[in-house]
Amino acid sequence: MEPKPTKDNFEARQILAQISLGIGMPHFQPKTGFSGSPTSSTWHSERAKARSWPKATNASRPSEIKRHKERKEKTRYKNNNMHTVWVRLNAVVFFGLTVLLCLSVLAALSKIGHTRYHQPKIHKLALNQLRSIKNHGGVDRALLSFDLHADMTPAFHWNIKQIFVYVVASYKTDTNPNNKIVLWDRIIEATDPPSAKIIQEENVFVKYGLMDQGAELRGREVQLQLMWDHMPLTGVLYMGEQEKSTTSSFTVPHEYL
Amino acid sequence: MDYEGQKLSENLFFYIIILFGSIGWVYGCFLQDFTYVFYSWSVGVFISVVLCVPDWPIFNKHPVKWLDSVPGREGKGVERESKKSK
Repeated sequence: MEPKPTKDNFEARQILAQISLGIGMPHFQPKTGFSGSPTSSTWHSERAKARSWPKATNASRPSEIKRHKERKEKTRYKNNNMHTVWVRLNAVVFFGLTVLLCLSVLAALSKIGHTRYHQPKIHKLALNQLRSIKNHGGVDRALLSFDLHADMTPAFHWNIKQIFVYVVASYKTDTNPNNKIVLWDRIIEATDPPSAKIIQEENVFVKYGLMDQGAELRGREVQLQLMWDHMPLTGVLYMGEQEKSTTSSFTVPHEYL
Repeated sequence: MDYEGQKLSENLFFYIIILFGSIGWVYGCFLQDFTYVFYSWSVGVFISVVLCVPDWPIFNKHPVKWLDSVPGREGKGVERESKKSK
């Protein structure tokens, strides 16, 4: 006898395995165009014999198939409909996160319009001393110090993480009608002690020089204004600024010093 | 965990998390501090995980009753079935 083709061998083993597992006789569908080894004519005839089951087995097949189907059905239900511990953990954690999101959004919504009634009090923001005005590689740069008295406490509420306070110098030149330069900044966090939310400082030296784009800074009137960004826990970042009427100005000297 | 247990577990964590979250929200709103909301919510989620995730006996009070299997040839199917599923 010639060696058996592996495909047949595999199928035969499957049948044996199914029978020994008690699944029952497998349901055969006559295959057309089955490709065995082309020379194995004896094997083909044996296979044909094997396909024709004894009468008794044939008769019992429908019930076996039914039982097999039922078993499959049960496994399907077990696998698909019962939740595993991971599915439950996933459900709890992500439902929790959804609730946290909703609470955060509610907190943000609860503070809409807060700035209408709660504005920081800017008592004083004015030049203390102009230290120098020099020309650096073709551009004018002024260094100065200022006094700042401001109470930022009203800007804080439960949806504010921190407030970014900064001093802006604005002036006009012939080249640029609108110049805004940040001279100094500070981050006040919500968790800082209450004393940190009240800025009471004299003669603060600038962090960043008042630098013009060109050499047109001399003799200009410079306005100092305090601005701040509200950085919320949830929601949009929004700005606030000192009222224009309370700002102070100074004139830069006409000569370098 | 059976189907009734699954339902109970889902209802439990649903209400526990929302309850703790909303109590924390109201408390935090009064004290104007969102950390209270977060802590309260965390407690709620922790309790839910402990209560609803493991397969506690309370979730297994309504086991699923399967239909008897159809007896196979010579009545052997039922025997085999009961042996397998025990």
